[in-house]
Amino acid sequence: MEPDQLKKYRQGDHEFFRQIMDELQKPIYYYLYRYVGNAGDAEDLTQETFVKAYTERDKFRGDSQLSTWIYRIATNLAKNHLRWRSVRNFLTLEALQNQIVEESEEELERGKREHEIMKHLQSLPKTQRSVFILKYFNELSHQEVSHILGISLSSSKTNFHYAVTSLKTMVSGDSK
Amino acid sequence: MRKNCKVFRQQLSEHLTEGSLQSFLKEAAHPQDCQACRNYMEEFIVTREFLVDAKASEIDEPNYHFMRKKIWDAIDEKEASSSISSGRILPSAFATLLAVLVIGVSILYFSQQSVKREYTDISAELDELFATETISDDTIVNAMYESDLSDEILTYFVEKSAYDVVQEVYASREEWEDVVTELAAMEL
Repeated sequence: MEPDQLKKYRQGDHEFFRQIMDELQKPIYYYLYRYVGNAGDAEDLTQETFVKAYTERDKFRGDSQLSTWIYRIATNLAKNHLRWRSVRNFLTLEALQNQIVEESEEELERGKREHEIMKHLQSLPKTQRSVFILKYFNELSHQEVSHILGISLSSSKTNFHYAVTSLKTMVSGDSK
Repeated sequence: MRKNCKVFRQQLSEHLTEGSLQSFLKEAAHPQDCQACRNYMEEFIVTREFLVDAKASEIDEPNYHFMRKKIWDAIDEKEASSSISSGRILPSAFATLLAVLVIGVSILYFSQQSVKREYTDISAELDELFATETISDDTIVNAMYESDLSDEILTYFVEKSAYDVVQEVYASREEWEDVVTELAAMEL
């Protein structure tokens, strides 16, 4: 990150932060939506991500891309959210799948495949899910994915491969 | 699974997003000798098409503008509360209080100075009046009527032991009884 950009960010320059939101709001929302499988939660988490990215900007040391830092915040919030949701039993996997089925029935015309992939993504282990979404849907490199998730480059590649294999099995199972 | 199968399948996964799948498959020798990997490859191609469609399909879009507003509102709220908790507001509140105190003391000081100055001016004027033979009660009365400093003037005359003047003045103002009481209280 450029020193002047880091300075602007650390100083809380509103105009600079607006530019960051222009660039990242949509991809972060897409990532969270696919990760948690729910539009409302994804919206709340996106807001929370940017609020945290702004209010905790002094924690950013500037040794990675700002986008990496913001993706990392989003990932941690999403993980905590799912953990909280799981612990509280607010939404069991079964309920989540039912919800997706309900949504897919309601919004069938908007694309059944989108909801199928959502269902498949929710079935993946969390790290595989993150890696796959970031790599495939958000089109980040393995290098970036590994920085965001705090894993090695080879772990990113392996998780991606496992995710692809699992998805292949699910898709093949659906098509049979 | 053999090592060649593992390597081929991992490379295939990477071709989900990068490079040309067609050219990779054309150059890959392993699937020609491995039925399991050919089957895997066929399923992979179906999955790839499915994922390409999923990627292109629309998802539930929020109102980004509304979301942005909520983000800024939350930031403002958090910054305000963190200012209080981190003590950033306290010094400013203290500074404000100090400023008010300084202004208050200044006003009091300058008003006292003003009173003193007025008293000094009147004293000088009265001194001048006493120094002349032409002093008249009306002059003193007018001076006292025009001033809020009756007590100071009274003190001045008492200090000068000019009780007759005081009596004259206050008699003319029909306040002599009060003055007598006050002088008695001062044990003069």
